[in-house]
Amino acid sequence: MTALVVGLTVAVALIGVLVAGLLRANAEVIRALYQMGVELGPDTPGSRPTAVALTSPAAAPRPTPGRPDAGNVIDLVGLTPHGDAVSLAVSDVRHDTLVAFLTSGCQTCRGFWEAFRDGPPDVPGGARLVVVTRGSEAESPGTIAGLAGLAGLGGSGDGAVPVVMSSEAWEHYDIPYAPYFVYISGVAGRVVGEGVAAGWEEVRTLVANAVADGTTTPGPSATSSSSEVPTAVANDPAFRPRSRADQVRDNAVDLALQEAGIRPGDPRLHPTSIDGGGDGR
Amino acid sequence: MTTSRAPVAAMGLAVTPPSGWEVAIYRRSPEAGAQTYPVLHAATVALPPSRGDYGSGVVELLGSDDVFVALLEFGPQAAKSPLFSSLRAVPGITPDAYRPRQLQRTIQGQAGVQRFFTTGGRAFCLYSVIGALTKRVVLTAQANAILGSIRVQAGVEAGT
Repeated sequence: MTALVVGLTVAVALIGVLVAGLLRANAEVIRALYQMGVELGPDTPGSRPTAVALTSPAAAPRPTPGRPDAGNVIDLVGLTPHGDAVSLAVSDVRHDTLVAFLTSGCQTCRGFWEAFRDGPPDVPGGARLVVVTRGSEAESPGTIAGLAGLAGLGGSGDGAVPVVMSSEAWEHYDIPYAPYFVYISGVAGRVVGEGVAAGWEEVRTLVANAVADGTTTPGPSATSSSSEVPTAVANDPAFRPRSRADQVRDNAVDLALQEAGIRPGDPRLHPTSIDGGGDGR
Repeated sequence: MTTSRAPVAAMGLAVTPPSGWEVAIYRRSPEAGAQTYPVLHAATVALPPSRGDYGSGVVELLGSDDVFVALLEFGPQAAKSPLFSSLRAVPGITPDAYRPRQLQRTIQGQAGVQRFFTTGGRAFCLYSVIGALTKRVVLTAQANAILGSIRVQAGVEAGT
């Protein structure tokens, strides 16, 4: 009898320790996410949506997490809140795409919904902004339409920012939480920046960091990056992907310059005067 | 690495867009007493949110290497009319079919083509625009690539 009581006491104590550890770990995760500006829970009574100030001072830039295969991108295929079927291309296109993964429940997302309702804000590089939510099995199309300002509009996709409901996209891009942003270079066909952000200014910083990091380098199918030029310029034929022969020639020239110690930005590439020291021809 | 293409399907229409193509299958909200039918848009440029059924808002964005394709369904009574019933499947296009004068709105350098057909008891108008008449051979092949992937489900009551 005594042994049974002792055994039960020990078991209860162990379970108590286990539960305490789980609660502590959970609290640490929630605290960490909260510090990143992410709220996981749905609206709580009495809470109010927090507007995103598009012109507020930028918070500290967040690091861009790594992705095992940045080139593993898929087009955004799903339904609009009106039930239209869409497939938005993100690779083999001249434009870049900034994908905003939002939910109807997260508090921080509300600010982005409100910010996007009046039209796409300025995206660095002229990238196309697309909102992606989970599919209709997880989100209410009517609620999403209301948040996106699409309620009452026709079914042709009218609205400032395209909205695609696609759990497949959510899972393929391995979205950890909302709001989450993924920047895809259309010419390179790869993810060049991603991360969480609490405000639009932080998103801009994420995109700017991706460009500054040089991660917009095109893949083997092209040599120009539309993320480095405005859309209007990128549409110019002079900035379009070049032929394979031109790519080979460009690569050979780049290699020769590199071997000569001349790298991008080298002043010798931009002489202010011709000083050949030759015969004056 | 880009994974395999995913088909897009709605309202008895399905299409598997080649790489770089955008697709939308939609139906406009009907006004009182009116009936609307599905429309399929496909283009090698980003489809803008606001666009007309015959591509206004899109064709202005086409560069010389771009293609736009629209498939517009008409009511079941149209399927029996001579205009629609002469072709019995989604037609392919030949390069010489594209003409500058077949555009809904003339845009310098562009060319368009329009075809009417019936398949599965459903009547459709095919309308396509290429960004440059001078590149019609290459661009026609692109248009045919997506036209060949279109599937029409028979017997779907698509009107609303």
